[in-house]
Amino acid sequence: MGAHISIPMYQRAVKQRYRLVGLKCSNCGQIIFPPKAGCKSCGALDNFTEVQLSGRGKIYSYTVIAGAGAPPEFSEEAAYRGAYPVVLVELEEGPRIIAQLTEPVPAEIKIGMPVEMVLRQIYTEEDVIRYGYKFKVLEGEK
Amino acid sequence: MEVGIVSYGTYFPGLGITRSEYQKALGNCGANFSEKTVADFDEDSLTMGIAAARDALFEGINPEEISFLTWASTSPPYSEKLLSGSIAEMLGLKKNLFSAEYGQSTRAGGEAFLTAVSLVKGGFGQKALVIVADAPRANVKDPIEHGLAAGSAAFILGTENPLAVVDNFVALVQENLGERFRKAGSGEIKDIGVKTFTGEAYQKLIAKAVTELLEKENLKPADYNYAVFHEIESRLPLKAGKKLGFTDEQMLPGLLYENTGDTGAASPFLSLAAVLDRAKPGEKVIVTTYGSGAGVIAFSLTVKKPANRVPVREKLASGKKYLNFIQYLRVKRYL
Ligand SMILES: [Zn+2]
Repeated sequence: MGAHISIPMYQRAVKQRYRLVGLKCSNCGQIIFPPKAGCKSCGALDNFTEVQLSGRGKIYSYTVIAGAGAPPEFSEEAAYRGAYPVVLVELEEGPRIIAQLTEPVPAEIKIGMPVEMVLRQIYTEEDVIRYGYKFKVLEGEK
Repeated sequence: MEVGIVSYGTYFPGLGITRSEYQKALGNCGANFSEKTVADFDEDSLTMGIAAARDALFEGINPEEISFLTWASTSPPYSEKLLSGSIAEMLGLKKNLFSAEYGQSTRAGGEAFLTAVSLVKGGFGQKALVIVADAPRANVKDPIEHGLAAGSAAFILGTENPLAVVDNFVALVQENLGERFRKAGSGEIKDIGVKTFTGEAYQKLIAKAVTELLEKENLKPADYNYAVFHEIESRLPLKAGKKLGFTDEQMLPGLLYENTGDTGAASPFLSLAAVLDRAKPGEKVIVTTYGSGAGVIAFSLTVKKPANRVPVREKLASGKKYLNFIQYLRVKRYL
């Protein structure tokens, strides 16, 4: 977040941004998300296969970003929301990823709350809408 | 070959606003709902459509089996740019699929639905995905804005083990000026504000289509268990239905406006989903989709098995965040 990402770069990663496609290391079974050049678990540099992650996970930790602290491409949304929560989600396949939480945000965010991936507009730059994943707290947990 | 709905999904945003918020802020409200759904700042018809489609593609349906994709919305995120490729990538569909994207009026959903039915019926592929999603906008000072809401529905059509099969349809068009329209380049719908004129057009055209459909099927209103009349506003659907001889009992299950507002093209398909949520095998459903300008597509279905989905009404009743009017203006980018 925060750095300018060119459209070609964004487009190369749409599979992971739109629906959480990760990699599985054929050597040790580690699930890697976002996809990287090597396996941090066993050091393997090849033999990865694509896997569709479930999109389910738990809140591992969270922080609240004040409107003024938001990167420029998020400024319009930050101005609307004021402060908004960003969570570190531990996906059920293991990887941890940072994402925004969508409304309705529970009055009290708790570590361990089950969440599910949703597709949202992340920001718009050059008039091009960048879609990607956010997370919602699952029903009954609010 | 019988073609039908093998699965369906629905989505409403997690935000809402009550009619009394409008009344407090503006002194009046031009639409007759008790609360309506509001798309969040980061939502649009595409993200809502994907949410409904993901709901429809629950366990057991392989996205790879989908050969046809039809999309309908009067409020797509781009006025020009194909959305099918985005949808295919967002859902993991195969890329060699026929797609069509509709949006010239709120009848778009009927067009998308029947195109998909025809393609599957033609035997050109196994399954079709129909996505209908809408979040129309208007000038907030115009009473036509007050009812506008957001929602989406998606249907997987196929021939194997359907929940409900499509029996027949009727489609009609006629010239109708001044009713809900949006000029090229504008993001806001408007009308000429003559409600009786447009209300009559709706009632007459819907009545004609339904009457023709009943004749085609050789059935009477009483032979149907449910009738969905496109809720372009709160009172007209019931009025139009009653005139044709349908009862409260047949119509109330499909009336959602009171709790959603005007979900545009998605409206009759959310209503159809609400009916399928409770329908029993053997029951018959009639659905009308209306587009201003004007046209109707009416179709009928026979239910084959119970649906077992999270009911639309349950989704509507579950934990929304309610906005005050200022928050509403900001989330809609009116401010
Ligand atoms: Zn490894």
